[in-house]
Amino acid sequence: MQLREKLRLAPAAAPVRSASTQPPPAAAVLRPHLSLPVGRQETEAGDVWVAEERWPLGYRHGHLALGHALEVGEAALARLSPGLEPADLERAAFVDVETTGLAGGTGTLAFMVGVATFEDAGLCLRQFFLADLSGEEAMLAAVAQALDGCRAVVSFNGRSFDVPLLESRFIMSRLRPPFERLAHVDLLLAARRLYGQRLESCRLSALEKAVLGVRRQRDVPGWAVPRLYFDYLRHGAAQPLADVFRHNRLDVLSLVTLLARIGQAAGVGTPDDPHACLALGRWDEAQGHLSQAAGLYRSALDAGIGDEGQTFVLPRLVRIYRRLGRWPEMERLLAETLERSLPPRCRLEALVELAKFKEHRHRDFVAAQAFTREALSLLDVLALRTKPPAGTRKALERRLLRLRRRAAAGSRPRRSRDRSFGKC
Amino acid sequence: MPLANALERLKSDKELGPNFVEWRHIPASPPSLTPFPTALDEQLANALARRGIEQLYSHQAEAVEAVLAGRNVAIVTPTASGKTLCYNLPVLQTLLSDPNARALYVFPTKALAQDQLNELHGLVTDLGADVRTYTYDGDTPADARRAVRAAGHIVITNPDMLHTGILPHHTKWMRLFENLRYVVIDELHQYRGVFGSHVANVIRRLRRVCRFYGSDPVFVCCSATIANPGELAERLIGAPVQVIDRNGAPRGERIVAVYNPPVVNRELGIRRSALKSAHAIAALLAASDVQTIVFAPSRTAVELLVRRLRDSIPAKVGGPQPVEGYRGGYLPKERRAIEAGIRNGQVRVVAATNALELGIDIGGLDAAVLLGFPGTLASTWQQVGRAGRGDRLAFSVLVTNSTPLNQYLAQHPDYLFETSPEAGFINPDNLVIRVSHLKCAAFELPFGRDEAFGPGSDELLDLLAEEGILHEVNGRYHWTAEVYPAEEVSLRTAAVDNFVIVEQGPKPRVIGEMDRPSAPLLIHDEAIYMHGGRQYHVDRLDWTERTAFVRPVEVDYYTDANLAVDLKVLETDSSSEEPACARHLGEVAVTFLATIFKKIKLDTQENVGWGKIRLPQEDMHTASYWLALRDEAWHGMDQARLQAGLWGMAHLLAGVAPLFLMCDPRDLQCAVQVRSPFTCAPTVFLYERHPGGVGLSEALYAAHGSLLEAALDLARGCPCEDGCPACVGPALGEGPDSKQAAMALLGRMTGDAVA
Repeated sequence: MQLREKLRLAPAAAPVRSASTQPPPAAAVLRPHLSLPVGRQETEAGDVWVAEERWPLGYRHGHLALGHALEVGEAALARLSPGLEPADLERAAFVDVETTGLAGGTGTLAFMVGVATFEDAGLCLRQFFLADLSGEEAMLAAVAQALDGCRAVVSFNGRSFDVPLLESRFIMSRLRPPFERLAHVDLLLAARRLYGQRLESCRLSALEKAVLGVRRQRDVPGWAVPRLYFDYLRHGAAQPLADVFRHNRLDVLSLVTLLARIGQAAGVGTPDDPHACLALGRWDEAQGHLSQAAGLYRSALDAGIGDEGQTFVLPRLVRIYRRLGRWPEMERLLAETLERSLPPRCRLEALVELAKFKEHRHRDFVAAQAFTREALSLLDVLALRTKPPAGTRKALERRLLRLRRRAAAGSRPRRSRDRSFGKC
Repeated sequence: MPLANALERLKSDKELGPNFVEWRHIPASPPSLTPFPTALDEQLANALARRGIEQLYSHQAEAVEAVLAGRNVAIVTPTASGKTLCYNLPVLQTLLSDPNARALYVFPTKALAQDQLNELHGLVTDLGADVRTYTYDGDTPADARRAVRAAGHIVITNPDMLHTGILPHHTKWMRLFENLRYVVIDELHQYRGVFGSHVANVIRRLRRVCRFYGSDPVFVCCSATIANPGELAERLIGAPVQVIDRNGAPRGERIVAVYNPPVVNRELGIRRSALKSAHAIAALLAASDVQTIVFAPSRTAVELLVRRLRDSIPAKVGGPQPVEGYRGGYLPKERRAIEAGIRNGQVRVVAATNALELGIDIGGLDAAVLLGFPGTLASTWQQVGRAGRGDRLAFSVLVTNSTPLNQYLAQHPDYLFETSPEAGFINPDNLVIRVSHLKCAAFELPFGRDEAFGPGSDELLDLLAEEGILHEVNGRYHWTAEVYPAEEVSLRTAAVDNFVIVEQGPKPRVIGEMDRPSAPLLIHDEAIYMHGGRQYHVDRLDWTERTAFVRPVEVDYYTDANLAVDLKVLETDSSSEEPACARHLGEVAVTFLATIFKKIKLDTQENVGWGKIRLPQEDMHTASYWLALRDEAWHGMDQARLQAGLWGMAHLLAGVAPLFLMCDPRDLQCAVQVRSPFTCAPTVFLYERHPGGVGLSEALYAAHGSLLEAALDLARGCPCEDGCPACVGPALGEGPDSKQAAMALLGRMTGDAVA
């Protein structure tokens, strides 16, 4: 009995349908150069198929010219990839891959790797194409070579997708992945920081529309790409892949101008738009640049960012001032806060912080008691409408008791006030 | 001594005493100790000494030496014989001298992995070495996974995670695979049947990935006592192993009894409930201050026992609860608390499923009550072994229920003590299982045409290429599909194709599950489905959605469906002539079609109606063992008597077959052909329920003679008059006289003509 027959009789989970329903495909003849703009390069590891294209720096892709990417300044780079210097951008590689699926794991491969670098006063894009599955090692070796003189990789979501996938492929071809020594600028992460609050989606296509001014027409949808490649492998249908080359080319060009655009936005010292201040402040805070973050948060507050923005910024700014030991600014901020019209939640927080401040910094137990009492009565008001965080009232009442006791005891010798302050 | 007193009370108890059919005394045996092997690292020896271990049991020393010498081993270890040292010592020894080395521990369940992690942490702390040990399973937080992959010296996981989470991402595990020195497979005996056949293929994939990274790990397998640990291990890992089965651990004195509940309805062969009997025995033991574990076959039984035992053994005012349950579905924290309560003696009685049979550390108790034969002798001895600590007397009792297997054991208790436990069978080459793992393997690394993955794998590769799942270039097959194949394959397939049973109402709820082969018979439209003692009417069975919609009813009938089974022999692999019959082994195609159902009145067994079942026909291709009777076997019988005899015999054979197989009774089905078109003779088929077979048929074919004798013994020993569910099936179920006819047929085939 034939294996085929046995599998057919096995339950539905079996993969093989009856042979008669599908004639075995004839071995496809793979001649990609006939219908695709690819040329063959001979390398030590074998033949590699590459499509090469160049653009001058002044070439506009959407609102911006490619050359603008070279103008990203120090301040922006410190945010995008600490350690990277403006001169390094001339040796950045813009990388985007097309794959046989999104499932992940070792069974997904990159059949096209687009690598763009600045060369001879222009941008040069090389699209390495896996014309036949036995040529993967040669293709990857050529990709590694293209990255050879580079200092950084610029990608869109490359940190979690493109680079790990390529790393897997290098390991499976027993080649050393070239990424360890390269800095990595993942523009998706940067775009989320800058635009995440105001755009519904941070997909590349959404960013192209919203911030780059790029309109794509007749673009092949991402989900259709693996199918086109499999069809090419099986039947030799190379022509439809021309759309994939184009798709990949547009992706890489968008990477270049997106870097330029994000570089501009992230390079401003203090933006006029308070929401931009807030976004940059969060970015700096996340990277540990606290003093810069404090400045941006302060500017955002001063320029007016609405209730929601204030509720978000205030506790953060207080925390940063405390960490940096910038007490006068902290006190001023808290005092001002009480003068603003604020959501009660926010006001409560400021009162609690002020009470702590008065108790531990100034040892002014009377003033601290006043703030604590005010906080308690605000809590009563709040409780009428919403459920305040559990434990808040208890903590406040405990504080009030302690303050009474301390006020009664008069001033005792101070011991390491900073430490005790930190605990509260 | 409370236990000795309790045993006297049991023996003399008016209700219970007379139903014990066996009291077996097993004498104590002293330990066999060996000094630490000279090769053992001094640091390690000191750490052991700090834990009070000055010498090793002989089997531990033997294992340590073999593993350090680079030999794969299968260690056969009874409960509480210190098996973990057998692998922890060589692994830690290697890690002390080579911090880059890695080891992978595979346990069948997450709970066992956790238990092992705690034990290893203790030993590593005593050792004071930088050995990082992690579990890696579905519970491992995402942010911890990177650290486990890069830095874990010992990674503890389960086969399912290895299959879906580790192998398909092997490049992320490069450090582990490049340096993998040991793979530990504990609870080897669990890897049998379908599950084992899957796991054997996962290990094929593991070895293939290791070869890619240039490593060749030593496999350390540990098994409970089974008949063929070496063979099972070799088939599972695909390499020769050294068997270490001389146990050096001491054993205390033990008494093992068998209790058969009394017959309450002789005509129908119905006995008093085993659960009630087990409860009575456990309550008496606990009342005599004997710490007792009761093993129950299901979660429901555990809950019932807990409720009843709490009634009989109330907690002291303000004192701890002396009765606890332990089963899957309890939260890990609850489990840990109960385990601790057992160890410190606060829990006096615990009712547990086999979740406690496996290697969870609870120390030893005084007595174990087994509610029903656990299905295999191997499990029986594991459960029996839960009673006993040091050299104190231990007591275990098997309470038999009314299935054929249990009744056979009640009649032949010698079988328990004098037969070696079952053998574990797997069939790594099962076509369906193998093809699914071949896909996973090709996903992991392109497949070379000359690479073997079981017999004829090149032909399978071509088939997959034709389907477009693989693409061949220069003799290498590459994965060219968008799916992630490991996610489509469950190692424990039983759960995949199950039907769910949904009680309708304002709040629909799932009340149960049913395996696919049983669904057409038990949950067809209009069936009365019994669950937890309640009746439900099946309003609709949605075959494609695998869901039955039911509602509770109270009616005075049950339904009994007819399944038309058509069986064709496709290929005969082996045959031989035996007394009065020929035995065969081969492949069969089975079609099932549920045809009609009858409504049968509960008290009178009258037929009160019927209906048609409209469900699609099911096809299956599987392995089978069959017997074709020669004329002399049925000489003098008319057609009706022959048919009744054949069915009776089929029931008996299927009933005792698990004794030889270490399988679930449901893994085998039988079919009867009074005149088979293939053998041209009256024929009884025992075929495997899992498509393609997992090796059970081969084992039955080999056990032919003993199988027939056991079947005959069961029929003869059964006290019923004309058949009962415990032997040839319900009286009158297969026509009159089926018991006598079956005995006559079996008698002639075993050369025992007395019948």
